[in-house]
Amino acid sequence: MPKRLKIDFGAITDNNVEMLRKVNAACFPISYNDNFYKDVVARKNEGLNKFAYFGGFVIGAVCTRLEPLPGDESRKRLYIMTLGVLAAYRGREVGTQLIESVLKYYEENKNDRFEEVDEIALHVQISNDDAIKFYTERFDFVRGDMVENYYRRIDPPHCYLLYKTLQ
Amino acid sequence: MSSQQANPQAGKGQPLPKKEGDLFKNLVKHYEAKQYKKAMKQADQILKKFPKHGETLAMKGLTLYYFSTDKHEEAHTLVKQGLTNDFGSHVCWHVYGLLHRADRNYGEAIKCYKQALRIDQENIQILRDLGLLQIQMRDLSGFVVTRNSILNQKPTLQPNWLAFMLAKQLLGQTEDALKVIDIYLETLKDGNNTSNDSIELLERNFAPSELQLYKSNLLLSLQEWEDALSHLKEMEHCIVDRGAYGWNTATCLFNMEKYDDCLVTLERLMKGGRMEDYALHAAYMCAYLMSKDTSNDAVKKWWPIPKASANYDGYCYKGMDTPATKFIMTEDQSKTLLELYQNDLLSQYPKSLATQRIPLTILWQLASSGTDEKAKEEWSGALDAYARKGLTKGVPSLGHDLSSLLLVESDNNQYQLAVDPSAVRNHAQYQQILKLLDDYITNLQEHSQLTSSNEGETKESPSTLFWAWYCRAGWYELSAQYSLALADMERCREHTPTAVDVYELEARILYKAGSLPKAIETMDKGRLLDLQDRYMNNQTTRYLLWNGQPKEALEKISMFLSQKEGPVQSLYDMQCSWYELELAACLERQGQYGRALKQYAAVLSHFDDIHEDQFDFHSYCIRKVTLRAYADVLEWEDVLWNQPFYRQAAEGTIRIYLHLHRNPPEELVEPDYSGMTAAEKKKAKAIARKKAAKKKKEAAAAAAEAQADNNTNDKSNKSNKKKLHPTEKDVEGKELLKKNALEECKKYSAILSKYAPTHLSTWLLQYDVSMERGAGKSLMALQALFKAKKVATKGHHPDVFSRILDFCSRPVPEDQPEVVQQVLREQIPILLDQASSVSDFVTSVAAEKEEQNCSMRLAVAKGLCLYAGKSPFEAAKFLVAGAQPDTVESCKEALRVLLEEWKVSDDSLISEWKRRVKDQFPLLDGF
Repeated sequence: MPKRLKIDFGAITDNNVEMLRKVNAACFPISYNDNFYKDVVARKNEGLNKFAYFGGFVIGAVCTRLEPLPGDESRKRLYIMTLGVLAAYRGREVGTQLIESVLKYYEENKNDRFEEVDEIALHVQISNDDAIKFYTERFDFVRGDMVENYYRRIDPPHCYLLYKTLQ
Repeated sequence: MSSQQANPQAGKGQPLPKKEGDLFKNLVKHYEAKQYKKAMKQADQILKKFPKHGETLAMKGLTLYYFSTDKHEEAHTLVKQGLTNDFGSHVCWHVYGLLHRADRNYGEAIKCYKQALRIDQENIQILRDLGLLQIQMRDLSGFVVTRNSILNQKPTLQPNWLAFMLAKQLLGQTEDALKVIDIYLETLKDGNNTSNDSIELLERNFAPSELQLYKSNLLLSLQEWEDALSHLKEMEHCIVDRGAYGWNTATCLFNMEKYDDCLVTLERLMKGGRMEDYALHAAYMCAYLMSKDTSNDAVKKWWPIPKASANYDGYCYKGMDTPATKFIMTEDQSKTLLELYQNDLLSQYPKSLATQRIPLTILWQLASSGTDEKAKEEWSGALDAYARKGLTKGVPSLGHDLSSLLLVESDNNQYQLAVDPSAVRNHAQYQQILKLLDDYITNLQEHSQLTSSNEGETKESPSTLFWAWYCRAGWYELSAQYSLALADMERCREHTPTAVDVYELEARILYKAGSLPKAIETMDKGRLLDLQDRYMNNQTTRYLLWNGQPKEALEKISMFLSQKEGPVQSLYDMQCSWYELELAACLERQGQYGRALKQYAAVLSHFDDIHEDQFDFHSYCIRKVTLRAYADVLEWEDVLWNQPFYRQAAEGTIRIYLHLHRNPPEELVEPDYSGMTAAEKKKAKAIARKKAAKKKKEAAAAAAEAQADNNTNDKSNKSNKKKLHPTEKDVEGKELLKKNALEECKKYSAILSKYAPTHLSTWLLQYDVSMERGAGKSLMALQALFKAKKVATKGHHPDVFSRILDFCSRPVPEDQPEVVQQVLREQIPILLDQASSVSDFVTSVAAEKEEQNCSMRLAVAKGLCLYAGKSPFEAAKFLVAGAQPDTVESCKEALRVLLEEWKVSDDSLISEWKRRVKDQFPLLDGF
């Protein structure tokens, strides 16, 4: 069995954003508010926000955004807001392919629109060993400081910042 | 209007002076160019000098008709005035005919044309117009005469020959049609013909190809196989439709018993890229079987024919049917065909889906009819391989595809699909496939493989398990095991909550299990997942209408409609009949009869339009020589009133008018004031007036609201005061309510009896309508009952049964002629299956079966109570003891009768019934 599931990517739009809600509801312990979804759709950037399709079904999604680099307002970072894959399709490198595609998109644009981008980062709950392993081992992210009481409704409420310097 | 303009007659034969004559010519010219304003000007100029000139008046009227839609009456007056002034003018008669034709009043138009032709026999324009109407009205013998005289006058024009030929064929005179075409082709060969639009015989082009194929079809329907074959060979060079050429050739060869040549022809068709055409496979199977064993005449009747009305032996296959799924074959035949596919066709066409699927059906037949163990094993293996392929690939229709193998032998030595859920559940292949799916699911859950322990096998992708559950849910749905189906749906939804397919199927099962609100909720969730999915949108709309939510339904469907015209208008303009019918039924259930009639009327008018649209084809198709397609269109239009949408609309219309006839709306009934004192009368009238005024006010408010509803998206319409769209006129259907209810019933019931005689509902309604028309129509009602009995075929049908009881329990009307009474006395025992009385009849039917479906059981129980002297309690016991829940509606009705009509107080009986219904429809409310 080839480990890697052959997936396609697709845009997140007004017409199918409900799928993103379903993926997130199935994957994350916290629920995102309407503004999150509105922003994702409004950004209209298929390079940074996308679905993973298998056999015609949406089975996962990644949502990222550009934001000012904390501490240096003139620079920017790519921030991974969510990365989710439906449980039944895990372990087949769907998440890997999603992150790879975002990184590839960065590589393709690093000399023009992503010129100011220094790093890619995300927050992860301190108990989420799988995710920490995924980013640090597979993509060489660095584990940063712990942020206390980052989450409000889940336990433990603390998280780490994971990041990777890009240029 | 071309030839008469040369010599316009100035009233009673007096020609107009030169100047006015020219003006008249211009008038006609402008009219033909649709420049109505200019035409009107010319007419007025002539009329200034000759105010009574008949032809000018008539032309002015006709122009006015098209110029301004709200002046149709004035137009009629003008034309009639013109005609009165100049009775002897063919122009006036012709114009009068054209006016009638514009009104779609074809019968009158034909009369006028004929009158015009009496004055000017050779007028080709009028003849042509007459011909168009005759073919439109299917006055075929008249059409032949008309086309004949046109041909005699202008034999150089090709369309005249073709139209005459077609006329002959439509009349059933195929041989004559063939002669006409031959004579025409002969004149071309002579080389005397110099006309430009004649067919270049040797040219390989569309028109000559169609003409030759048309001739070929004529020869086929005459079963002149040798002639047909030599004709095809001779004309091969100019026929461009290779498919039709091949099919006709193969049909000839098959009927000439030249099976090997036939196979060669069919192979050529296969190689031409038609491997997915199941009819072609059917043909190949027939020819192959005959080539192996020429003695088997039964196979000759298996040959696929393009339509059931074809004039030669064969069977008209539908969908993926072949002889293997339609006819019971001998073991030898099955084995011969299996070898053909496995050894020959599959290796030649390994990618063809049809070629892969057909051996499965042959094996199925071998396994299910024979006792051959090896065949059974082979069938199981083939089924397994086929199902796995579908699951791995994720074919949503796999379950439906496999369900086509749930066949049972019918009376006429053919196979037919098992439909009844209990028949499905007991079907051997149902069980077998269910077991297969169960095993797949267990294996997939345990080790992601379809087989139990084959280590070397590759793991399946995650979606395979999803599709296995999905397939099994559909399988349970077939056997009406809804709880099990819903459990699988739940698993699917947890596995892949983004799959729209799940929500669609789950909603359908929820609906079948008895909960429409839950079905709507689920369907809407699926719709939200992909707002561009039109099917999901329309299904949600449909469910909302079922649930009596027309406003919400309109909101949903509007998302896919043009916002410019307003949803109601664009639905009408697109002839969106399914929506209008569902809406009508919804309004009908809510008792909003006017609005419901309005919707039914919309659908009926679509069909009038479709019928009217034919007009364009009559001249166009002949000119373009699309003869075969044209003949198909004519045949289709002949059965237009048998189309399901038309029938639904007509049936709904009849139902509502029947109801209105039995329960006239209040405002139409004059209250009974007799027996009141003057003071009381005055008071009663005053109250009635007040009531009426209040009602009027409410209605006006409602109408205004509806108007506002309609116009929210189209403000401009209101301000411009444009012509009202059909959907904007009489929104409440008030005008329709005022019509004579019984007359409307008669009208539509007559149409259905004539055009849809094979449908049960036609005769049930015909019966109901006849009974409303009084004892004078007893024989009509009797005939309807016999027809209904015949259509319903197997056993008793509840709706027929209860009507038979109703009819036979009435005393024979003594005010009717002796003959009628005689017939009734003779026929009623036949209706009662020779039972001596209605009571005996009911009692014997009741004893026939221990168990039967709820609708029939209820009809029998009611009969026992009404006609056989049983008490309501006895009837109730009989009902509950033997009724199998079949539909949600009948189960609800049974409960209503138990509680409200029979007032059954025995709780154990009621709870027994509720329990049984709940078992079948787990989500049904009120049980």
